Order: sequence, then C-alpha cells, then structure tokens
Amino acid sequence: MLRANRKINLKSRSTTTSIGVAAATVLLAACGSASASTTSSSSSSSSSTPLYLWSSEGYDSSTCTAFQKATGIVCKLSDNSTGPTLAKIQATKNNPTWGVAWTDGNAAYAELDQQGMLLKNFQPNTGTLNALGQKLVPADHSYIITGVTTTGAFVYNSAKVSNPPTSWQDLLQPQWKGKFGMNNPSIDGPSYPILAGLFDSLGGVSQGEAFMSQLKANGLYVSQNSAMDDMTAGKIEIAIGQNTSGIGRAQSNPNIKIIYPNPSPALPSVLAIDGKASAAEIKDAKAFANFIYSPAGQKAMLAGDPTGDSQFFPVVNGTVAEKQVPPESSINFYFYDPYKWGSLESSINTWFSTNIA
Amino acid sequence: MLSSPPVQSRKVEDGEGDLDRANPIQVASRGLLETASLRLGRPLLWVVLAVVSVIPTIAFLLLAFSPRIFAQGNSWFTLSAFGRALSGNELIGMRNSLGISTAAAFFAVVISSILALIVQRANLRESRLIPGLLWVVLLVPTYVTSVGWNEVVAPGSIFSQLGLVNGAVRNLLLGTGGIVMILTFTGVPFAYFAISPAIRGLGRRFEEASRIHGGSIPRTIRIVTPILLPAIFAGATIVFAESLGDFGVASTIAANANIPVATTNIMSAIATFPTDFPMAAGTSWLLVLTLGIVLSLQNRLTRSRSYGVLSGRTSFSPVYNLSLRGKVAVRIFLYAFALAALGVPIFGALISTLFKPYQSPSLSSLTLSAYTTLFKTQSIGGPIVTSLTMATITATITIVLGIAIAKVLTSPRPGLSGKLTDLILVTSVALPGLVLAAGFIFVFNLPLTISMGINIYGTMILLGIGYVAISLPSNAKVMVGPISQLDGSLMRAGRIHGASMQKAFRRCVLPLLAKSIVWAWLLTFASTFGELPTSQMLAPTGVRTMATAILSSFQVSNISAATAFSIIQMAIVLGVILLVQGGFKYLAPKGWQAIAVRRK
Amino acid sequence: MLVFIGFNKSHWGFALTKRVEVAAVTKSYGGSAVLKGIDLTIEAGEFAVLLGPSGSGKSTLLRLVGGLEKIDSGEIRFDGKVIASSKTHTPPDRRDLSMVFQDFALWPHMNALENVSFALERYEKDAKVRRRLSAEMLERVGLSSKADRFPSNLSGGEQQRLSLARALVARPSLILFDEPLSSLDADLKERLRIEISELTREVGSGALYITHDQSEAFALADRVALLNDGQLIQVDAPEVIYRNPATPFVAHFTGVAGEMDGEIVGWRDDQSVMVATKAGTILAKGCGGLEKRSKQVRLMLRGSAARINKSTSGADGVVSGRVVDVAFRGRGYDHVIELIGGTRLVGIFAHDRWDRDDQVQITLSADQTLAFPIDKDIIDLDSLAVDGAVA
Repeated sequence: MLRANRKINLKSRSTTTSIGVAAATVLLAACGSASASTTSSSSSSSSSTPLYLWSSEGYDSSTCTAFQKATGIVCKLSDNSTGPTLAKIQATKNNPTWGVAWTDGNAAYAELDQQGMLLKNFQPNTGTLNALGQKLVPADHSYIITGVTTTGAFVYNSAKVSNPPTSWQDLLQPQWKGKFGMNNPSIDGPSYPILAGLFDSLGGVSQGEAFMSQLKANGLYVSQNSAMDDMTAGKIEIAIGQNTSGIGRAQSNPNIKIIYPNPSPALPSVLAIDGKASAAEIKDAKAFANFIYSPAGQKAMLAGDPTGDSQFFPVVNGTVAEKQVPPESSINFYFYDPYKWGSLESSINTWFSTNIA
Repeated sequence: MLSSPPVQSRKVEDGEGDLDRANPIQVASRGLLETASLRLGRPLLWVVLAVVSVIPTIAFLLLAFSPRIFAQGNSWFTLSAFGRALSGNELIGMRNSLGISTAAAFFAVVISSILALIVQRANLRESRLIPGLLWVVLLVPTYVTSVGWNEVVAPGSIFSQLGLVNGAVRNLLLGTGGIVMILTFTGVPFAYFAISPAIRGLGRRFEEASRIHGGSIPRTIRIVTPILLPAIFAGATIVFAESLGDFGVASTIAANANIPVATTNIMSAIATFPTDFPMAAGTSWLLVLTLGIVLSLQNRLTRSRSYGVLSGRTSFSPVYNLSLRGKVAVRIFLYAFALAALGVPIFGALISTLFKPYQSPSLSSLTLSAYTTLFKTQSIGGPIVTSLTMATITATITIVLGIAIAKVLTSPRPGLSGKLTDLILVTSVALPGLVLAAGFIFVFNLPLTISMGINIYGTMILLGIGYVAISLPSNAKVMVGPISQLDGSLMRAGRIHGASMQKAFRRCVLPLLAKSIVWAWLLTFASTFGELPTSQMLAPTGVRTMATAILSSFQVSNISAATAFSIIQMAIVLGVILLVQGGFKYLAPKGWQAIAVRRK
Repeated sequence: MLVFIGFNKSHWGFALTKRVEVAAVTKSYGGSAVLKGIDLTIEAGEFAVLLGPSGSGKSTLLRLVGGLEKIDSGEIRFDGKVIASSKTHTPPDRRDLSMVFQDFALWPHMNALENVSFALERYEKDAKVRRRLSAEMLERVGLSSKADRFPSNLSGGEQQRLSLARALVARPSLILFDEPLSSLDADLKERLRIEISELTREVGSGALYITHDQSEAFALADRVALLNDGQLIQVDAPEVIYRNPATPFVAHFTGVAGEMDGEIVGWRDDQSVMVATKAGTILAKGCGGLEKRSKQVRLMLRGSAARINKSTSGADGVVSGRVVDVAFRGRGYDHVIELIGGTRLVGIFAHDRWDRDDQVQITLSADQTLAFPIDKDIIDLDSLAVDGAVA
C-alpha cells in the first residue's frame, strides 16, 4: 500500500516538473514566434541586415523611409528624445544593438568617442562639407556633422516686446529683470551647449559661472519644462533656447521673432556609427551616412520636420536652407571644443542646478 | 422521508464519486495538476518576481557601488555615487520627496477613511458610486491630472481671466500644495482598498462599547483607531511608496515650480548626457532604504493583522440615518472630492485640446484643429495595434500574477517570504519605471546573459516583461483588499463539497473577485497602453508604441497631431473601459452582479 | 442495505458510510505540537462528537479528517484505505465528505438552490436531477420558499439551515460539523440541534461534530471523544463519560457543581472510598485509577449528586452548608451552597425554594461524588521509582 503510494507520488512529481517546463517552453515559443513574425514581416524585403537607427531628430522618420526606398536596406527606427536615446546607447555599451545614432549636440559624441564606442575615420563621400560644416568635424572623424542649429537664441513675442535685448550683456539691464528664462541644462540636453559656448567665449568656467550668477541676480528664470512654452504663455518675455524651435513657433504665430546674440553657440546635428557593429551593419550604416549627404537625403532632411529640426543651417555644399532660416553670414556662430566641454558637462550642470536653478 | 430518484445506471469510471471505486491511475493523474499548482505555485511565483522585479532592480542598484560591472565607470567598488546622491540638488530632491510623500500619505489616509465610513455607514444613495469613482481616479494618470489642473489655474487660463484664480491660489496649486493634492488623490484609492475592509471588519461594536461607557466622539475615535492601525499603516505605506515613485506630477507641476524631487533627479541623471547611472542608482538606494525603514516600522507597530470579513455569513451592517445637515455635509465632501480629483483636471485637460497651442486662450484661438487632425493622421494604426495587443496581454498576465501575489500577502501566516514579497513590491512601486527598464537592459544585454542563450533584449518579450514589471506591484496591491475580504472558508467549503482546487477557485471565489479583477485589469491596460519610459527603453528598434508615437509627433513639432494622438489614446482607453465594464454588466451571471452590487 | 453496495450514489436513498480510522496522527504548526498522536475510530454511520476547550486541537483534527490540512505523521483511513499519511494526501474533494462551517461559508454569489446543488456536482451529472434533489433538501429544512434567495437575504437561522442542507444533500459518507451552533442564540440553537441530529441520522451519514459545549455534545453524540491539549483523554458513550470520567479534566469539562480536596480515611469496597474534608467525611466513588496507596484526593461533585435537606445531621455523606444564592428556573430552583470549610457548590437543583442564608444539610450520592487521586502524589511515587532504578 505504502509503496504503491510512494510510486504514484514520485511519478506525479516528475510529471509535474515536466509539465511546468513544457508550459514555460510553450509560453516562450509563443512569444518568440510573435516577435519573430513582427521582424520577419518587415525585414522580408531585400537586405539581410537591417539598419538600426536610434535617433532624436525631427526628420529621422522621413529620412529613414527615404533611405529604405532608395537603397532597399530595411531601416528600423527607434525615435526617442535625445536623453533616452543617449541613455540607451550608454546602457547597452557592453553589447550595443544600435547601428547609427543621430541626435543634436557634439559634446555627447565626444564623450562616447572617448569611451571607444564610435567608428572612427569615416566621412561620407556623396557630398562635400561647406565652410560651416568643416569647422565642426572632429579630428578622428568619429562622428559626422549633418546640419547646424544655434542654441542660446533669444525668442520673443514682438507683439509684447518692442525693443528686445540683442546681446548677452543686455540681459543684465534692469529692464529685463525677471523677464527672461532658459531651460535647466540638467533636464534639457540642448541647453548645456548654451553654457558651454558662453563659458568658453567668456574665457573659462569661473568667468562663465560669474556671468550666470549675474544673470541670476537679474532674475534669470529657469524652466524645468520648456522656457519657450513659458514665453508663449506669458510667464516670461524672452526665452533663451534653440533657434529651430523659435522658427517653428514663428510659423504658427508670426509675432514670434528670434534674436541671434553674439556669441551664438553652434549646436550641430551629429550622426555616429557603432564602433562594435558587425561588418554588414557598418556597411549599412555607411550607406545611410552617404545617403544623408546625397541630394536625396538632404531633401528628406529639409522636408521631414518643417516646424522644427528641418530649419537647420546646411553643411553640405549645394543644399539650400529653408526660407525661414536666416542667412548664415548674419550669425555669429561660436564653436567650442566638444572634447573639453563634454567632460565638464556633468559638473557644470550640477553647479547650475545647485546655484542657479 | 426523501423520495427516491429513479434508478439509473451511472458510470463508475469517471472516478468522481467514490474513492474506493475510482480508478487509481485516474486518481493520481487528476491529483497531478493540483499537486503541481500546490508544489510549483510559490516557487514559480518567486521565479517570476525574481525575473520581473528583483534581478533588474538589484542589477541597477549594484551600479551605485560597482559601476564597472556594467561598464559604466572604472571602479569595481566605490561609494562616490552616494556622495553625489547625498549632496546639492539630489539631497534637496530626496528631502522634498520624503516630505511630499509623507503629507500625501497622511491626507490620503484621512480622506479614504472618511470615504470608507460614508460607504459603509451613511444612508446616502451616492455612496454606492464611491468605489467606482475611486477606480476611475486610479485610471487617470497623475500626468493628466497635473496637466488638467495646470491648465485650469495657469496664468492666462480662462479661469484666471474670469478672475476665479488669484495669484495666491495659483502659487499654492502650482507648488508643493498642488503636488501633495494630486498625489493624495491618486493615493486615496490605494488607501481606501487597504482601509475599507478593516473598517468593515471592525463593525460598530468597538465604537458602541466606547460610547456606552462614556467615551465622547473624539475619544472614541482615539480608542478605535489603534484597532485599525495595521490597515492604516498598510494604506499609508503604499501611498507613500506610490508618491515617492510618481513621475506624472514630478515631471509637470514639480518641474514647472522648480521643486526637485527624487524621481526627476533620477530621470535627469539617466536621461541627460553624460548619463550618470551610478548616481541614479545611489538615489534609488536611498528610496529603497527609506521604504525598508518604513516597512519595518509598520511591521513593528502592527504585529497581527487579520480582517477576514466577506465571510460565508453575510452580516447586516447597520447604517446611520444621517440628519439633513449631516447629509449636506457628507454630500459637499463627496462632490468636492470628485470635482477636485476628477472633474476639474479632466475638464482642464479637455479644454487644453481646444486651443491653438502656444497662444493664450481666447475665443479667437479656439480651434478644433486637434480633432480635425484626427481624421488626417496616418501611420497611427501600427502603434495602436501594437499597444492594444501589448496592453491586453500585459493586463491579463499581470492580473493572474497580481492575484497570486495578493494571496501570498494576505496569508494569515505571511512568514519571511510574505514580508520579503511585500518589501519587493513596495520598493518597485517607489522606484521610477525608468530604473526598472534600465535594469532590464543591464541584465538582459550582458554578454554573459546572451551567452547563456537568453537573448531577449530588443524583443517584444522583454517589452512585455517590462510592462508587467511596472504594473504588477500596484496591481497586486489593489487586489490585496478584495482578496483579504474573502474568507478562506468559502474556498474550503468548495473543496469539501467535492470541487477540485481549480473548480473551487473558479466557482466559489473568482466570482466574488470578478468586479475587482475587471477594474484591476483595466488599470493595467490603461497604464500599459500609454506607458512611455518602458517603451522608450525596451521597445525593439522599429516598433512604435502609442506613447513613443505621440512623443515622436511632439518631436516633429506637430503639436496638433500629438494632441490628436493623445485624444485617440484617451478615447481608446475610455472605449475599452466602457466595453469591458459593459460586457461585465451584461454577460456576468446574476449572482456575480448581485455580489458586485452589494460589495462596497 | 447490503444489496446496494457496489452501486453508486445515483440511488440517492442512503449514504454509503465508511468506518473512519485516525491512527497515531500528529500535527504541529511552527514547532508547537497541536495534535500529539491521536487514535480515534468512527464507526460507519456513527455520530461522533469531539469535545474540548478552545485550543485543544479539535478544529485541527476536523480539518485533517476533511483534508484541509496535511498530517505530519500517522494515518487516516476510510474503510481501511489510507487517505492521509505523511506521504499521501487525498485532496478534500476526493474524500466523499461534506461540512457545516461555523461561519456557514455560503457562497454569497450563488442563491440557496445553487449553493445546495453545488455539493451534488461531484456525483450527479444531470443538472435536472441535481436541481430536484436540492429542492427536496431545501424543502426538508424548511427553505423551499427561499430557493432563489441569496444568502445575504436569509436570516442567521436560515443561513445555517441552508448550510445544513448543502452538507446533507449528497449523503456523503461523513459529515463534518465545525461548531455549527456556536454563534446562534439559545432558542435557535436548540431547534437546529434537533434538526441536525434528526436529519443526519435520517440521511444515514456518519458525523464528526466538534464543539466545546458539553450539553450539545451529550445531546447529539453516539460517542463523545474528549480532547485536551492535543491528546484524546477519553472516548465513550455520553453516559459513561458523565458517570466515569477518566480524569479530573473530563469531569470538570463535563460539568461539576464543586470541588474540594481531602484525605482518604478508608475504603468501603473496591469502588467506594471514605474521604475526610473540611466539610466533613464524605463517601465517594474512586475514579481516574485511584489506588489503595493513594492518600490525597480531589472530590468532584456532579450537580445531580447533591440533594438539599432540612437540618438533619449525622449520617455519612451528609454535610452542612448555607444557601448563598438561589435562582428560579421554571421547573424549580438552582441554589448555590457554601459548605463548611468554604467550598461552594453551584447549580444544586431543588423543586422547592431555599432562601438565602438558610442553613441546610446536603446529602451527597456516593455514585456522583468522584474522588480522583491528586496528581502530585502519583507523580511523586513515579519519580521515586525512577530515582530508585537509576540508583
């Protein structure tokens, strides 16, 4: 009796485990096939390796589509804000799964380059860089400049402000006390280049911090969300930020105007290729960069985000900027060393959060 | 005498009736599933919890000490991240978070206790609607509530222009006051689900005993409250944790008012280059430690807790006949709560879609462009299908796991494993979703993991696991209340009277949970459908979810398209809610409805 | 009856009862032993009552028989077949049982008929038959007009009747009763007790009924099993338990009017012993293994042992006392009497009223005056013997 019972129990236990394992397998298989089908359905077209594009540019979706159409290489896009895109690249450092990264700002790429994560010594051959672009190319060609915007532009509503400030020093005047603001660079990525450019032009970190303290004394408003929104909502009169978002707003409200002060720190759009990618992936990535430099790619960039990122200053000879973009010659671009200022970003942001925000 | 039914030959082979005559092999095989669920249940739950919560969280937390493990720095061991996490803005953020969360927990407990008393004691028609109202409050993301309130009281809003909002009110609501208020509202349902069963279980005997022996009302409250302490602490703890981990208010009102909190600090450490994962991990550690302290305090203060109340014996709970004045007061309280928690913010969120973006609202800027864009928008189909599918799968898996975990948590003898489960859950509630998502990347994108054959980073499976991970804690927590109300004897009665484990659960217990299950399913569905950080970090390249699609149309600066997407999202969630609730109403058996109506 | 064995329950006229054997069963929770080796046999169709104070382990034993918990060691057998041991565990739904719960455990989402019908599902595939049988059982317990009501719309008594109907309808081999009357008021309690007794026997099922109320136990049981501190103290017919309790605990738990200590001064025969107490010399019945060598005893007086007389002193077994309290009980009076030496006897019945402070004589019947050896003596003897052996 007892023995029989034990036998049954032993049997039941082993069957039990196998059922559990089987169930788990079925579950995984089901999930696996589900995901497999999603990838296969889109990759069934032509090339074997798709291009994995991690981007935060407004025109990434249109260029991705245009690239796929032009080359037959499947383009898979992960379209996120700059912060999460770079965070994912950083988090997957051990085992990168991206092929091409494409976001605003060269300081981050200088940092990634120093961690040895980028493919060096490649420059697209389908177009030639103009003078503006050449000023931003890194010595080791670890990233590719695809366009330039400025940051630190003064955006205002001309219906409310008739006599806007035209230089950084103007902001220290009493008439602007408490009426101008910018985003917090430790929350908004494209705001750090304002500090980097301004500090560099003033001669260094301590001079820059002194100037920021003066601005704060004159009521610099630090927005944790969007200084542009705060300006349109009437919280402040002058928003200091990226020129392209000013141009975008001007399209829906013609009263929005933009002042380009001296210096206007250059904020390039940067494309980089994963240094650890396989040969096939690198081939695709290079094809993408070449496509971007080609007239077709330039056209896609200019069309992709008409109320924002497409309002850039072109860096490829032969490309004409959108008509809302002011002549390049009228801007006092300021260029700083991204390798130097990239490594200072964290400490300057902390200082800003603690002392200015 | 009993009449004898007609003699009919019944097959013996089914093995159901008499033990002696049942085929032994069939007995063994039928017992098998049960043995399986018994023996494998707990361990399986542990494996699931380990995968969806413990391992990724620990991986992330390890970064604070050892950035090099995941190639995020040079040192194998350092404490510098804690130095950063405990200084400057980070320290201020942590302090703010603790203060705000404590306040929210306090107010949520007070409000939910009053609501529970109204539901159980007041002869008010409206009190029937309160549980449903609370579920709806839970379904509206804090982000929407914040934006809605912001829209209503912001300078230049029509309310401001009408003079309904002055500067003082605005400063209060768009500052700490507003943050605490909104977190309180979101916390009330959690606290209610924890406290209401206890108040019901308490009955009126203790207060009556106190009143009879000369206790005044305040004294009676003082006497009775300690009996409720376990439930009150449980409620306060979960609200505290939810508030610590909240990102919706933090990224809107708190950010606009320049009030740093722990979650936004973690967010900016991760999402601003150069990424500082170790410091984010350091701040996360502080959150984990805080909750560890709170939970052990809770444990120490409340040794025993057992409020099994929805027992097989249905009791008649006495109801106070409120005086006219009492009724008016209670009604004012109820309507004020409903208005502040739902009415005003939803109205605000709606009007925000009616004005041209970036213009101060006026009649001339009134526009329907957001809605007309709805019909012109293309390429939204993919994300909708993706998110619908994922949200449905996630909600279904989550509810099953949530019930299982809630069962562990309500066990009369929770033991170490029960306490540990509680700690894990509450901790994951308090950590922002981004932390968990980043943890998943670190764990599942390690060359080591991949060499073990687990290569799921960049697949829908990991995205699904990520979704389950962020919704499981809240889900389990809201199921604890309903499950703790189920008296164990109902299940036992089923077993004794011949039902297998599965059948007893399905027939004798599940119907009583049905209403809560439906709501909890919807809760996970709604939050998964619009979940952003997890989608951003874990969605396979090339897959767009609802949230990332909305975000990218914001990035294309196509505001009205983005607004339109948001409207579609809300409409779909609302549609699913109506569909599921309607389906339940018309399809569920009469007995389920009866219990659903009676249960408060 | 025998004719039907081998058929199954589709006949529905009677229960296929089984002999239930509990053998050397132990159970502990978290290190503390709740049941310390229980041996108990319930004959087929027998109504057994498990009587014990709270914490004695009776609920645990019931749950072990029901299969709601697993046993640590020992065996439980139904008709000789092992259904629970440390290695096997037949789940509750496969034990052919039913149960009346203390808190009724009616499923609130099922109406009365559905609640009853559920218990038939394991035996009867035909829903129509189930419905008919359930309706008949509801009628039998007087709930036929309330078949479509939900439990919340039934009174406490009706809920308990419904719970009873559910337990009876399938005529299981054994019905478990978990203090089903403990939460009802006295009047209802008595009526339901009669229904339980009558219907259970009518259906023919065996019963294991737990309670802490001796009068309930005596009224219902074929046999009573007394449980204390995880051990069975005595298993016997109610009359035997009342007349010959095995230990002072059993006597105490089944009702005594008073207790006093004394010293043996002589034996009248093998059973009767003379005991000197503060109240006087009393003739008592030796119980609990009282031996000739015992000296110190504890006297435990059943309420029925004492008869109140006018002051007529002298005889053996007559002691003097004073009436302390009197309570009218309808058929007569219950008195509290303080004996000389201070011992109080409670619940002493008399048809006539004796007033407070009346001096009275109490005649004690030797048959119901129980003399137990005081544990200390016996333990001392035992330990001496052990010491001697070691030396």
